[in-house]
Amino acid sequence: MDLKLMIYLVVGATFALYIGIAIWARAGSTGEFYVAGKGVNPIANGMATAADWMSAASFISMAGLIAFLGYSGSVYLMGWTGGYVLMALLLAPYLRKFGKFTVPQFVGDRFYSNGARIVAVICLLIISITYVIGQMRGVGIAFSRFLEVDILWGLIAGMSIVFVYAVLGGMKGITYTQIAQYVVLIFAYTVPAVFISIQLTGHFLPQTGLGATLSGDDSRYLLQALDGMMVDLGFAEYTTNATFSTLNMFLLTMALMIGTAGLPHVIIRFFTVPRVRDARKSAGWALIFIALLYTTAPAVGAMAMYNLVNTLYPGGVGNTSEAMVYDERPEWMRTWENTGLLVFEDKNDDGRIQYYNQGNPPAFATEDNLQGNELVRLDRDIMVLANPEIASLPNWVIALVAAGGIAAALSTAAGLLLAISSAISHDLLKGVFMPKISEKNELMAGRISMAGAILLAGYLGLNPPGFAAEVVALAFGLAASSLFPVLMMGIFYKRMNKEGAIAGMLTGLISTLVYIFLYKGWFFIPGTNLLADNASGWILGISPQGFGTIGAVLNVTVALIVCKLTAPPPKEIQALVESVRVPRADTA
Amino acid sequence: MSEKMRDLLKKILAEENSISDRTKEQIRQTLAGTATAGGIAEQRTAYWKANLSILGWCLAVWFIAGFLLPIFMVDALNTMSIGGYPLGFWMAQQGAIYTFLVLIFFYAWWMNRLDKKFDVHEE
Repeated sequence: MDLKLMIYLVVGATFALYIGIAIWARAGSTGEFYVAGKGVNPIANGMATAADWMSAASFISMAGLIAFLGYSGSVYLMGWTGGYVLMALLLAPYLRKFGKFTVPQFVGDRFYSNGARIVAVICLLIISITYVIGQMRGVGIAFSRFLEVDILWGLIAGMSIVFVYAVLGGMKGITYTQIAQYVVLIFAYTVPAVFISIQLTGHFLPQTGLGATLSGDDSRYLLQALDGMMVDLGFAEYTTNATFSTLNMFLLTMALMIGTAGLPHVIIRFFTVPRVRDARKSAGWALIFIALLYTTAPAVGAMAMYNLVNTLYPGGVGNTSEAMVYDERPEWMRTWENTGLLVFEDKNDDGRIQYYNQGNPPAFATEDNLQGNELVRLDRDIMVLANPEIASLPNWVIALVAAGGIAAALSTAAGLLLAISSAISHDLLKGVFMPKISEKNELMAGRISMAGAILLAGYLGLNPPGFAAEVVALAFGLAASSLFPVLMMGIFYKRMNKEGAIAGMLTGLISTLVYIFLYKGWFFIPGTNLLADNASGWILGISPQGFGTIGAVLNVTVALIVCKLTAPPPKEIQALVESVRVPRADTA
Repeated sequence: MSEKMRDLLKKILAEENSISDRTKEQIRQTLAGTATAGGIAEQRTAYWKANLSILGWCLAVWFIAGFLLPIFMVDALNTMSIGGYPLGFWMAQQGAIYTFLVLIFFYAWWMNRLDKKFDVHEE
């Protein structure tokens, strides 16, 4: 069957499924709209959390990042999974016991202050809106590449689907759609990986395939061969650290971990399970479902890199006179060239493409009189999206990857949009400005703010503010430095008061924003950065991406100092903390 | 305490099998007039201390698996290998994730036991 028709069929079928679920799972109350009536099975919630969590970045970009970073790419693998340990051990059970609808609500009640609640809403909005832009961009890329439609129409299609199930069903509709989306995305990710692993190593599991010997050459391990290839082309060994200093490896991994645990749209997923012990277990199930993708990703990255280099050097790596002939390049390269994400430039006019590290040219570059690296641009997203084509897999696998990429982006976007709309309707409207609003009107307000958030996200996806690549670092840095510390202190330090919490949150938020802006430009406007964004320009060698860790430490330090200098929280707040710490509080 | 209440508590103590020994002990103390307001509070403090102690151990393992081995000791570990994986590289791209998984389920299991032991588990 024609590839394009196949993609339309598969993507269309998944969309029909999502809409069917939306109609079945309509929300009738604010409880269903915000937390799915607290009746979600912990395993189902784990699956929904995994889909919620694994965004366009995880599905489309991560394996590509790892392919180019090698060992250094581990920061993303460990950072985005290790955060679940913090979530499961330090936050989820207690916030579930608290038993309300939103993260700012906990902050507001625990710190007996609407001011604290509003600061938390601001943190939440900055984090979630920056994050949602990336998802919308992912939807746009998937549509424009696979369906060859204009990004505008791709976005409109994606937004309409999210609109139907998120506005109708709220958290309930989102949860059950996310379960379907998880199934789609995990199949889409693992099926090509299994095929490629079998092709290269004969291993069915990519996780063992990556550590296995190459098919047809039992004496050479895949990773060994890859290390050799990269060194031959003038790059660092694949399996050793070349990109980050040890300090920044540590800071970046830590920032991603505490950022993960502090992301409001993930935290609220644990409000949907019936009991505290379900919240503990559900985080484990979520990580199982996430780990299926995250332990496959390193194999996808490494094998894609291996295949790519072999495609570029059919006569052996570094054999420049037999490098790939440009006019004979494979079909997938032609289609990706149309998107501008893949660019070749035959600098020495020999009709062949020579790829190597220009910054550290290998010996053959001078010997063969090369004029520079001719693979001018290779967007990392291609590594996953073109993976099935690189390995010449059947058309239905390619169609599945398209549906998977869209599922990953839509499921995360929906979770973020819910976090945004509940912060507006429940925290700002009901909590602060209109406490007497009826449940029916609040539900309506929730739906309207959801619709507004979808329009805003769509607009930003269409006109990305030019810093799409930076937003992930920003969102995690801010979650790490503002929300996570204040939630943790709210649970583990009974004496923490509102003054300390507010001062801490503001310190974390502002210090991290300023540090990122110093290097990336004020509000990401190019050229307005005050310091050079490289290792020698970084204060104490701390990269802006890793600053979230420092921001969190500043947050806690300032909070503790301010707290010591001001009055302790009232008795009833200390009682609230006591009750949050115990699964069954009716014994009091 | 009214006489009626006393009878009710005695009846519960004699006939109700579903309540835990700890609760029974508290009822006995209440009837004997030796129960203190601090009884439950002390029990909760003990529960919280037990929780903090297991949390400390779990976070230590988390730090070893997520930072010490795969980042700070990676070069030393890379001199060994499992299959084609250099050990430090494997720890960073596979091992850490498996450890995190085991850790979360272990904590959930341990806390369920602790909840029952201190009689604060959910129905």
